[in-house]
Amino acid sequence: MIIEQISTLASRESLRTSTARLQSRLDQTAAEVSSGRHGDMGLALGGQSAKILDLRGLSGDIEALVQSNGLLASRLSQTQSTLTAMAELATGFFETLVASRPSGSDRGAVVADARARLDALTDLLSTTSNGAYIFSGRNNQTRPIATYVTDPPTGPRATVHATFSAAFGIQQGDPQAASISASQLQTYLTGAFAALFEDPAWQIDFSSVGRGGIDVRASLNEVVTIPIGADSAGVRRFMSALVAVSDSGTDHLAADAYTQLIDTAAGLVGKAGAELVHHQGAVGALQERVAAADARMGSQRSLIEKHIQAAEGIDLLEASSRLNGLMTQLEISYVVTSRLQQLSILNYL
Amino acid sequence: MSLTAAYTIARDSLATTSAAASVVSRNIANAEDPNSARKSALITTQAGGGVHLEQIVGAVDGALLAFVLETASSAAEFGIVSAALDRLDASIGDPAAATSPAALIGKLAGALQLAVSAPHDETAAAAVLSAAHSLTDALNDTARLIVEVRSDAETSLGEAAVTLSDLLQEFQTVNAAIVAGAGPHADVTDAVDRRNALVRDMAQLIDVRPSLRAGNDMTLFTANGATLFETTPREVSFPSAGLLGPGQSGGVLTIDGIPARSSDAIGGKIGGLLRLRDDLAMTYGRQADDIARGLISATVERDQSSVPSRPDLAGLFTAVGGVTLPAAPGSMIGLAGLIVVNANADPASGGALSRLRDGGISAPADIAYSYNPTSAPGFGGRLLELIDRLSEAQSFDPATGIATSQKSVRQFSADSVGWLQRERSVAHESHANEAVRVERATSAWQNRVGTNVDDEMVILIGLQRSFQASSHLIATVNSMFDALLRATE
Repeated sequence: MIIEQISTLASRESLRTSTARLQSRLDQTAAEVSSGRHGDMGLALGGQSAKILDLRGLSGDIEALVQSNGLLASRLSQTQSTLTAMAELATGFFETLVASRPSGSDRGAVVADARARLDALTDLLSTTSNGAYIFSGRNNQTRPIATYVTDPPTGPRATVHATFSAAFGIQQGDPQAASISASQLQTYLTGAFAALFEDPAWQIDFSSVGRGGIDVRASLNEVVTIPIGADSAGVRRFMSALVAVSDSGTDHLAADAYTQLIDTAAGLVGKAGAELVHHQGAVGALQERVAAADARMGSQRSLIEKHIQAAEGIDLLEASSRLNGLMTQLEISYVVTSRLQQLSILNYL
Repeated sequence: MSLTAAYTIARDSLATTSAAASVVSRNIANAEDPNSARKSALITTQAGGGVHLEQIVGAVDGALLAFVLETASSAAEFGIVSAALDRLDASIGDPAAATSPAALIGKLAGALQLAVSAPHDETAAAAVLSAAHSLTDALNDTARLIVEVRSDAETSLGEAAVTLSDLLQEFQTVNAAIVAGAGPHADVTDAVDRRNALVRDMAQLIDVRPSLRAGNDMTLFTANGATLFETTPREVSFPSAGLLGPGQSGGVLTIDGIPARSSDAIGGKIGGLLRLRDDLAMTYGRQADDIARGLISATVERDQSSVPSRPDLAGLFTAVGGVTLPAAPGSMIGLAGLIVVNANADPASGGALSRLRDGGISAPADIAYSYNPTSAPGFGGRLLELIDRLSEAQSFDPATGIATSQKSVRQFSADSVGWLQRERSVAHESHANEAVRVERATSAWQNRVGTNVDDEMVILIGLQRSFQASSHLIATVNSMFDALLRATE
C-alpha cells in the first residue's frame, strides 16, 4: 500500500488559505446582498461595461430631454393661452366694429376700444416664459412689439402719423380729414399704410422679433421648430386693423370714409381671427408632438433602466442562499481547523 | 566474533542512532520552513556488522518544483497586472457614479440640451461650461494616472532587476557549494534548500526555467531563451528612463544582452510590469488621448461664410499650447493631459459664456466664425449642432485596441471603458485561477518533499528504542565482561 505523505506545513497552509478564501467570498457576497448590486461593477460586467455606459448615457439623454421638454411644454401652453386671448381680443373688436358700422356714431368709443385692445395685444405679446419673451423669436430678451399707444406719439405710432400726413397732407386729429374720400382712404389703407405692416418697414418700425426659427430637440431624433412669433400673419393683420381704426384721423372722417375704414378693419380682423385659430392649431399640434415624445421617452427610459438593473443588479435570492452556504462552510472550516489543531501525536507520547 | 565486536557494533549503533536523531531534530526544527526538504539518514551496514551513517539525503521532486515555479511566476504576473488595472479603474469608477469621461460626455450633452431650450440663460450656459470643465478634469486626471502607473512600473522594473541580480549573485555561491560538495559523505541538503528558496524567489520576478546538469549543477533560463545563470550569473541590466511621459517608451531590460519585451511573455513580476508599461497602460493612454482629440474635433468651429475659406478653429475644447487642426486620429500623443476648456468661453479666464451659443470662441473678433452674427439671445442652433457633433461618427486610432469602425466620441469613450474592464476582469480571473494553481502546486510539492512532524516523531521513537536496545546491549556486554573477569580472578 502506498500512502501519500502529508507535509505538516502544507496541510496547515491549505486550511488557512481555504478559510481566508471563504472569508473574502463571504465578505463580497454580504456586500452584494446588502446593496443588491455587484460589488465591483467593472469586474462583474467586463466588456459589457461599454454597453451599460451607453444605456446609462441614453437614459441621461432622455432625462435631459424630458427636462427640456418640460420647459418647451410650458412655453407652448403659454403660447396657446396667449393666442386664445388674442383670438378673443380679435372677436371682441370685430363685434365692436360691426356694432358701430350702421350708426357711425360713437366713434370715440370705437377708437378708445381699439387703443385699449392695442395695449392688451402688446401686453399679450410680451408674455415671458423661463426668462424669455416667447413671441420675440431669437431676440428673446427684447419685447417683440413696443407699446403702441404713446402720447405724444413715438416709435411706431410716430411713423404711422407721418405716413398719414404724407398721404393726406394733414395731421391726425385735423378736422380737414372730413374731406378724405372713401376711395382715397382705401388707397391709403391698402397702400402706404398696409406697407407699414410688411417687411421691411414692419421690422424697422414695429417688430424686434429675431428672425430665423427656434429649433428645439423634442426627442432623441426629432428637432421641432417653434412656429409662432409676433411676426406671424395673424398678429400683424390684427395689429394693422387696430392701428387703422386708432390712427386714421378716425374722429373727423366723413361717414362714407368711416364706413370704408370700419369695413376694411373688419375684413382685416376677420382674416386675423382665422389666422390666429390656424396658429393655435399649429401650436396645438406641436404640443401633442411634445407630449407624445415625452410618453414615448418615458417608456423607453423605463425599459433602459430595467436593462441596466438587470445587468448591474444581482439575483438576491441566489446571492442570499449563497451567503448562507458560505456561512455554513466557514463554520465547518473553523470546526475542522480547531479539531485538527488538537490532533497531535505529542498528546499520546 | 567476540564480545568486543558486539561491543563495537553497539557503540557504532549508538553513534549512528544519535546522528539519525539529529537528522530528525533538524527536520522538526525546519518543519515550518516552506523551502526545507525532508532529510533522511542513509544508514549502511559495514563489513563486520557495524552500522554507519552513509549520507544525509534531501527529498527532491524536480517536476513538481518546476510546476511550483511556473505557477508562481504566472500568479505574480497577473497579480501585478490586475493591481495596476485596478488603479486605472479609478479613472472610471462605478457606472452609477458617472465619473468616467464617457459618462461626463453624456452629462455635457445633457447640459447642452437644457441650454438649447434656453439659449439666453446664462445659468444654463454656465452649466454647460462646468460640465465641460468636469470632462477635461477627468481626462487630465486619467492622463496623470497613466503617467503615474507607467512611471511606477518603470521604478518597480528597476528594483526587480536589482533584486534579480542580487538573487543571481547569491545563487552562484550556493550553487558552487553544492557542486563542490557533490559526491558521497558531504551534506549539501541545506544548500539545496537554500538554492530552491532562491529559485522560488526568482520565479516571483520572472518565469525561470531551471535545469540540472551533472554534479547537481543548476542552470537557469528565461522563457524567451535568455540565459540567467550558467556557472556564473548573467548580466541583468536596466537603464531606467525615470518618469515616463505620455507615449514615452521606457528603459529596455536586457538579460544576458537579450532585450525582454512585453510580447515575450517572460512572466513574473517583470513580465507583468513590462506588459503594463509597454502594452496595457500605453494603450489606455492612447485611448484617453484619442478621446481628447475626438472631443476637440467634435467641437471645432467652422468658417460660417457662404463661401468658407478659413481653417477650422478649436471651439469649446482646446489644448494647452493650442492644437493643429484637423487632428488626425492617434496623432496627438499626450493630448488627454493637455485638453482644456477654451479660456475665451470661460468668464473665470476673461472669456464670455455667450460664445458657447454664438461661436467664435477661438477668434471672437473674426465674424466669419460667428454662428449668430446678430448675437440674438434666443439662438440655439450652434448648441444643438454641438449635441449632434458629439454623437457624430468620426475616425479613431486603430492602435487604441478598439474596433476601428467609425464611431462617435461618446461611443468611443464608452468602448474605452469596456476595453479596460474587459482587461481587468480577464486579469483578475487569471490571477484568481493562478493563485489556486500555485497553492495546489506548492502544497503538492511540499507534501512530496516536506516534513510531517508526526512521522518524524514515530521515527524518533524507533530511534529511541534502538538507542535503548544498544545501550542495553552495552550494559549486557559489560556485565558479561564483568562475569568473565570475576570468573578468571
